[in-house]
Amino acid sequence: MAYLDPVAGAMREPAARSVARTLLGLSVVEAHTAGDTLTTAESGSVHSNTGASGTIVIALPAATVGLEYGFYVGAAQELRIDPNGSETISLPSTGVAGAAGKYLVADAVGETVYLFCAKAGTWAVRGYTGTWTAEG
Amino acid sequence: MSSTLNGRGHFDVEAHTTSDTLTVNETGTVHTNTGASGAITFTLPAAVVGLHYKFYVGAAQELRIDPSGTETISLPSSGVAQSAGAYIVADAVGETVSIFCPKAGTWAVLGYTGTWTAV
Repeated sequence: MAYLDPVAGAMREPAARSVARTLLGLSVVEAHTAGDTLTTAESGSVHSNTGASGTIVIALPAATVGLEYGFYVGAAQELRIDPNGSETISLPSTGVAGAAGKYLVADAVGETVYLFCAKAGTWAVRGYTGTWTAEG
Repeated sequence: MSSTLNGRGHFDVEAHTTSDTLTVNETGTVHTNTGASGAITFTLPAAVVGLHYKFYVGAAQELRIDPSGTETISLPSSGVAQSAGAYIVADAVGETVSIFCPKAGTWAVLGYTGTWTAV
């Protein structure tokens, strides 16, 4: 069973279960009802706002080559993906890097984006659905 | 051998000339219609969180991805869940879609190319 991490305010899987899922080829999917800061150890996982009743912000770790994360809008609320400090995220529709420190956001159920880091300090998009916009 | 969503390790690519029902043990694999001479349908297993599959149109024939029972698949271009039990389809060589299950009973799209429609 997933459990509530009181520090992060997010649902988490016991480590053993997470490892088992990886060995079985399943991806880890974590539903967040509150903001969270992702870690490098979570690379390869998928994060959603399923169950959230308002805007939540998922903060990324410092962009290091090889890190990657998926995101899924599971509730019709803003899901914001915030880069670390002045790092950048590309706009999914164009691939053009956003302004320093600006987040990406979507709010319609079913929208997804998959980010990866090919160059330190920047997040690129490997795939997406729906409409993602950058912080104004 | 299955791979994780982050693509570490090799993944299996299976070419199908006839329809097939995928299993949970095949999560992480890639399925094509390479060599098919007509429409083929891939029936998905019941959507369980964490399952994921990729598809590639390798022959200019309809490649249909059909959810289990009344489950749903998002339309790749919009991310919007389609009608219960409706399949998505593409038929031009090179078109791809990557789907995963973020919530039981639901298939979402993490990336695609080409034009996929729902039926």
